[in-house]
Amino acid sequence: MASLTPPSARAALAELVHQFADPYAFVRELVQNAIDAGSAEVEIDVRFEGGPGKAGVITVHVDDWGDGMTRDIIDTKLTRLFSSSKDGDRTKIGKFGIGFVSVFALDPDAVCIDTSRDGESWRVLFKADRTFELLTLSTPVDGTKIRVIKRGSAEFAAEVRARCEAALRHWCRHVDADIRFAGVPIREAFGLPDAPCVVEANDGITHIVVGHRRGGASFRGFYNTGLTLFESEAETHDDPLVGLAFKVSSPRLEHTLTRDAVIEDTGYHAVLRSVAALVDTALVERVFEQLEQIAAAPSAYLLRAAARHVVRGVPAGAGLRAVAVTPSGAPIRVDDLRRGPAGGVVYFAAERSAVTDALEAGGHTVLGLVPSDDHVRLVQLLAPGVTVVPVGHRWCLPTPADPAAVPVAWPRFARCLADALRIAGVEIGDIVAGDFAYPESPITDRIAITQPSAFALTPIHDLDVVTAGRFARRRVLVVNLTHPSVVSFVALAEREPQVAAYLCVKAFRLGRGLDAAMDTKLVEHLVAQRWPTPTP
Amino acid sequence: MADADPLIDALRAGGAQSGGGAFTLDAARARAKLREFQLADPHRYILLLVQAMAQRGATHIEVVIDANDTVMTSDAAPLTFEELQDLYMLLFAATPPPAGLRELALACNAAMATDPRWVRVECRGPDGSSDGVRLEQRNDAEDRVDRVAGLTAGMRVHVRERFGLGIVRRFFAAGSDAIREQAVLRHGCRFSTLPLLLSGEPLLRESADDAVRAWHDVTHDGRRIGELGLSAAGTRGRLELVRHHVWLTTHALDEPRLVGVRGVVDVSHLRTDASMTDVVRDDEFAAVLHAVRSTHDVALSAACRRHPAGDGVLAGLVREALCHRIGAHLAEADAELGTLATPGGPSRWRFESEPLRDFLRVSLWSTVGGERRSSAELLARGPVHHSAVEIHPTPPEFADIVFAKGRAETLLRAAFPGRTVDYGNYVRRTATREANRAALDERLHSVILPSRGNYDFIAPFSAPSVEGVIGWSAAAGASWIRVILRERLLVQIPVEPEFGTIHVAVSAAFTPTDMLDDAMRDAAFAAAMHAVLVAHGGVFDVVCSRLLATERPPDRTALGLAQYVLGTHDDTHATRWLATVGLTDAEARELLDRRGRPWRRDVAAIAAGTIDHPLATLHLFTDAAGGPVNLRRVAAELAEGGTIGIITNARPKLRDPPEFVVRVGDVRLALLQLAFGAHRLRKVGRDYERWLAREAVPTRSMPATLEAELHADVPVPDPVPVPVPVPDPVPVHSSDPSPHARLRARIVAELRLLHHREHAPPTESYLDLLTVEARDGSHVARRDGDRVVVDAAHPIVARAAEDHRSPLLVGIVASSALSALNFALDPFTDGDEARLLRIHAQHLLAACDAPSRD
Repeated sequence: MASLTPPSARAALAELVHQFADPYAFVRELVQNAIDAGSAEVEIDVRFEGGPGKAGVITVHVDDWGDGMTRDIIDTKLTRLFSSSKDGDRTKIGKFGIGFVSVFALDPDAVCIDTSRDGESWRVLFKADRTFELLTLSTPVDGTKIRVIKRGSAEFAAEVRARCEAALRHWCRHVDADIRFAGVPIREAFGLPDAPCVVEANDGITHIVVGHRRGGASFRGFYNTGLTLFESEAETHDDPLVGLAFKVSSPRLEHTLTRDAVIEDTGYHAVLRSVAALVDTALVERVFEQLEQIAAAPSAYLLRAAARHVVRGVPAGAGLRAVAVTPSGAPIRVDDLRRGPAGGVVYFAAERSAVTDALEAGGHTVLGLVPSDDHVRLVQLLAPGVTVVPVGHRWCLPTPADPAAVPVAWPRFARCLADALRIAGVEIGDIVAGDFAYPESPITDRIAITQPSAFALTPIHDLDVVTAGRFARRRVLVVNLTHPSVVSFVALAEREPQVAAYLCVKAFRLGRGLDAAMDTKLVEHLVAQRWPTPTP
Repeated sequence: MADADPLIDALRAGGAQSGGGAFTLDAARARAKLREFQLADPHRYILLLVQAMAQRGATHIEVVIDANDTVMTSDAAPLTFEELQDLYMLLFAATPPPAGLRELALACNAAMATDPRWVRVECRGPDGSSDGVRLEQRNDAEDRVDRVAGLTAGMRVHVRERFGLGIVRRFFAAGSDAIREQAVLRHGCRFSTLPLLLSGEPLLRESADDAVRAWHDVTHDGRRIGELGLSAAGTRGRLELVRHHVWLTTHALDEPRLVGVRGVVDVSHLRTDASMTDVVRDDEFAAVLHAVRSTHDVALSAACRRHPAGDGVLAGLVREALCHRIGAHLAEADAELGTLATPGGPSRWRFESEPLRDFLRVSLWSTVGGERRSSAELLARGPVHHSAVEIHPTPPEFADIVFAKGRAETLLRAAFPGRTVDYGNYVRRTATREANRAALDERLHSVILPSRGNYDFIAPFSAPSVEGVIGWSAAAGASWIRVILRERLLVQIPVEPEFGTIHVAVSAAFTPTDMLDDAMRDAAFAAAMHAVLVAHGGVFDVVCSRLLATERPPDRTALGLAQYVLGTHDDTHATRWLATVGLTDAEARELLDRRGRPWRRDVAAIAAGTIDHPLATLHLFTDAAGGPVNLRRVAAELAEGGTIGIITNARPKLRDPPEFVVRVGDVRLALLQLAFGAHRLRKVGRDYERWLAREAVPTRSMPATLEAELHADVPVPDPVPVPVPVPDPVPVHSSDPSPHARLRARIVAELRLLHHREHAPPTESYLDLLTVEARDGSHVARRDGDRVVVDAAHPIVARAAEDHRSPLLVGIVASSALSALNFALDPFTDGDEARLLRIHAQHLLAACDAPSRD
């Protein structure tokens, strides 16, 4: 189909000068061209000649030491819109053939390019109307030197300097080449500074770093040869990489004309698949490896990172990694939790004790710390439906009192106690002295408890049973010899064992059946025992 | 160099002219690259079509999307055959292309990037007289433009999907936003005012923020370009940029004055970047922002008129914006007035200008008294006084001080730049003083000691213009002096006596401090403290007398008494006390010189027996065997002249020393030296070793208390964990004829004692419920109505009543009464009773150790 209207390069140029929302994005384009020209370094500077408060001349210098341009390149590529010498060349970032014209976004008074290649040395002097003069240079130039010249005040020069530097730092900070602004390198390592747990893969073409940021926020950065193409913290719920931070630099990534996005083509999807694969292998391994190293006191950060992976399915290879340790120091592995803890309960205790040892020996899962919400979440993700409770909420295990600490009056006191308990309706097989003060004991405040057999692991709900079934064995009353009240009762028992037993039974039965009638029965029994004659 | 021309000329002169020219265009490549790279998501072509049709005057647009097709029709002005033929070349034509053509060309180009079967653009004029024209694009063929009969009027764009998996996917997604074009259209046109039908359903316009209650037109160059409102839920300002009915992007408004702004602005007249999804930040865009700011003032002004009380939207973060606007206007006013303005003073003539007048009328501020004030009211009074402290009730002079704390203070400073004065410290001091005054008024306090104190000794004392009472307890505890002014407790000053616990209440003509939280250290205060010292000396005498009844005073007390005697001899006691209560050393010495030292005791005379004082016979020392020794005994040993042996506390005991030897630490050695002179004391360490060897006493462990004392003259805690029985706080008169009353008194006394030890119920009000009465004899004690009755008809209670001095039996009945109180009274918990049972066991054990009356 033949065209009736000849296209106008001038009109196209007028549109393309403002192709970027940020008029200072031209420095990125010039750096990109320098890198594509093979320059290992690029020097950018903004200079001002003039006095404060007066009009002067601002010059933006962009110098490279790359291949330079011949006249043919100048005529057919540089000054021909949409014609690029890099078309189809995957090793080059640029390809549109329009990036250079963004230098006119500042409405410069002139743009001067000095360049040499293949024995030719040229100066291209663009004027304010964007036409150019081509000059032959007598002295060759090493690479290409660009000067963007504009009238302006010192204040405006300062703004140009600041915005050029900001644009450079945003777009060029990961470029491999040595990029300097006013002599200062701007290069930053291609990493994730806010992500302590990071893995990296670099096959020489595609460079990926992926990890977990401290706050768990997403970040995705796409780069080509280190040049920033697109960065975003936006999250979408269905994004498989949500909650992760990654940067990927690859020549397979194409950006839009305005770099507001990466073209979602086959190269883009292939790169994302590589990132996802790295996440599912090396990053998972790193997270669980680090978590295992600090399993005794895991950080919230790593717990959240691990949970982020587990919520999408338990990663292969993580099964043998420990995510916690028991109070005795044994590892609790991912697979241990996935198999389902005994009784559907995971216990925890900050300190090791006889009761935690007994629970561990009984096959229960006991975390050797007070878990954070993050820890509980991870445990429940690995073992859905499991309950996480403190050991002391379910179990107790008193130990026998130190024989050296058992007072001389104890046997008399115990006998009187047995008598008084009988009066109070408590059917006890034996009374023993115990020590309830072990780490995180839930029974330190108890005067006494009953147990099926003395000093056995006993559920908390089973401590107040005081009657035995017809054929059941009578329970044992274990008296807390370390309880301050018991200390007082036993001290009194040296002189008045019946009175001490009366007070002790009352303390034991408070809230557990003691009423005025029982109290009267106890008093009557006490008086009868203490003062057996009619008159006390 | 101030001009660029010389530089440019120099550059031009730097080389030999070799040609020149202008940019040229590779149109074919341009189209290909725009197709491939212009849009990140080529499905956005549908939005470009909306923009194209809107620019060509469409009054409505209908879009139908199904598995195969996307069809958009409208009554937009049709394109001619020639325009369609040159569609892409017009993008770069020297003259601006007809309206909407650029968007149409880019849309068709982008649509081709989705790899459709074909894209057709069909147009026909409204008169129906002529044929229509159709542009058909295929990726595998040249574009075709044909004249076609039978087309409907207007413009129609039809994208036909290529047969394949894509169609299957679209088939199952039909009608939902899973079809990309549909999602893009719904999202991109949510602010469109153009009627849009999507598969027969109107596309509803969304609000930029549902929390906005009033919208205001944004005008630019006399034309309405959008609307703006203030969001009560808003934080950072947001401006939605819309171009030809299609949303482009959200522009963040970061200025503090634009907090809460929500706006939708048509930027169709602005230049877009190459992606056509954002506008270039050029001067035109800056003009739009200026229009937004102007409208913001209008919106703020309207909000101020609607909410003069500062409520509604002005109660939220928009308040911040308002304060910044007030501040900016006032700064402008000051700048305009220049030297005419009174620094910090009102600029009254400016306040009537719009919109400042509305801004200033809002009652944005609260005074420290809690009253609302408008900015105008504050300005009318000159500098704006503020405080971060509230004060209630508010003194009249504080009526206009603004309460501003934290962020409110920041806003106040923003609203009244250079006009605020911080009165915080002044208000704080006043508020504190008033609070102290109120507290002082409520702290009624006679010259008595609190009834709950278990004092072993209480004595009133007085001096000219001073009245007081002093209480002493052997138990360790916090000691204090309560300064009483006009029947109110002014301040309680902690002190550290040498022995026991001292509580003092003293009243005099004290002068309160400015803050009413202490007494001035003046002559009245000094006189009162001197009287306290004198009274303390009396306590010393009484304590010495009382301790005579014991074989040996507790270690802590004995040591304290010795320290006191030494301290009163050389003034260290008095100066330390007076320093503790706030007198300087010079003031203390002046006081002592002027009023004397009546508390000083002549230890030598006491030891010699020339002064009769119980200190002489108090067993403050032990001999080599650990037996008690007093000053009188030492004096007797020295009566024949010569010396006595002394040995340090750390040495083992000697059962049968060949001579009289006293064990001493530093304090007690100093006391002996004071009483008898150092020359009468002889160290017998070496002899003592020999005596020990001779006696060959096997080493035995010593009782803990003695062990402790042997090592140093330091106080050791009383070793007995059970409390020492204390006298009944309620006297029991032997003449009381009623056994029940006597028994009740004993029970109450016992329970009161437990209460005092544990600071737990039963309090006095509970004990008032307790009676001893004869009932049915079924229980020792139980609840009966609103009382707790100890049943005198029960045999055990009857026996206790008959022999009420039997502590054990009474104690058991009291325990039963305690349980009954617990059963009867909700505030009295099992936990309380459990603690009291422990104390009771200790008490009963102590009772067992008392002389048996059982």
